[in-house]
Amino acid sequence: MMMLTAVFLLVAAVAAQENPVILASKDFLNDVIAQDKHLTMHYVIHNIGTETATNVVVDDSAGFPSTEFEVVSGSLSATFDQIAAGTNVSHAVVLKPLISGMHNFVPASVSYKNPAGEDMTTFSSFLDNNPILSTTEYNRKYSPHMADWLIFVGLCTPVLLIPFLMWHSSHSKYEALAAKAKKS
Amino acid sequence: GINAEYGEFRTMSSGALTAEEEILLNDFSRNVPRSTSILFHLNALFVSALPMWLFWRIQQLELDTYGIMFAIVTLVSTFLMSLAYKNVKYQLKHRIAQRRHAGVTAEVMQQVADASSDKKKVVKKEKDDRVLFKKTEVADLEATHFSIFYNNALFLFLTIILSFYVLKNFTPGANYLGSSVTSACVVAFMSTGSN
Repeated sequence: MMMLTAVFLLVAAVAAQENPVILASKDFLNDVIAQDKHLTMHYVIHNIGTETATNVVVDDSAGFPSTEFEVVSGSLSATFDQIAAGTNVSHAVVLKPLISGMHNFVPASVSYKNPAGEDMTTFSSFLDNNPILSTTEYNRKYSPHMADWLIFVGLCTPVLLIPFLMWHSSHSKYEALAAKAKKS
Repeated sequence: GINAEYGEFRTMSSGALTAEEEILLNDFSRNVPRSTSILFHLNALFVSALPMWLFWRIQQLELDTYGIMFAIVTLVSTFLMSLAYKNVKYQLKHRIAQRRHAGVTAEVMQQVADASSDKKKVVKKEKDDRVLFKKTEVADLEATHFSIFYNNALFLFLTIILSFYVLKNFTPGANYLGSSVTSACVVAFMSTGSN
């Protein structure tokens, strides 16, 4: 009985390895995700099985509704005719978040067919909840504010330079007079 | 005679104060002339309002939400800065007057020599009075300007350090309140030091 079970398991394992096995990763290419700033999503689909996967469709529309994200470049779904065993393909899409706050970046769905024509589905890696900074928060933390700092320096100049120069002018004059008087 | 803006003084002896007495009394008084007081208040108001620019543009504090806080903090800071200007000026005036004695004496002697060439003889007492008056005037002006420069520089330096380093993890509103008021308090406190 045990021998029979082992044989069945072995046959199943061999049969599984003869199918394409798709693993998909989903990742941000940005360090910071902010409202109205471009967000690049990167997908890599690996076929770690022994057979070619055909009609591979990556679809992440559910994760980025059009009311919350605008597609700037590329597409939220991509189709690959086939992914040979042991190879991988990648796909990228540029989005613009229209909202701010915590967002649940759900996995993308990947559907494909095995050599027998059966439909298979898997999901990409899970990115969990990530914050999308509001425009105000982003500007506060990351914007260089060069013009603002230059204007601030310009505003500080009169309250520092004018009193200093007026003091220095009198100071230099009387120090010079005192030095001259000391010499003579 | 002496500028009436230095204020009126009562004398123990009968009759008006001599020029020397008035100068000495003014020297030891913390009172500032009205023109200097206005200068101090305007400077204090302008420099106290400067952090508002930083917090509005860089920390993104909205004017309509934080307007009242901006106004109150600016007024408190203006009061403390004016106090600091007055205290530092008072402390510096005496030291500057001592340093300027030689230079002012040389200048007055030159003026007297020029006057003598017009055949007007100037007595020693008048020379001494002129030196004393000029010395006080120069010391007053230099102390005023240096006090404004020193206190402004210290206030702006402390505000930037506090808001962008020490309190950077606080909420922007708390950051503004803490950095501006603390800087003004430190400047005012340091101005009360007796050295």
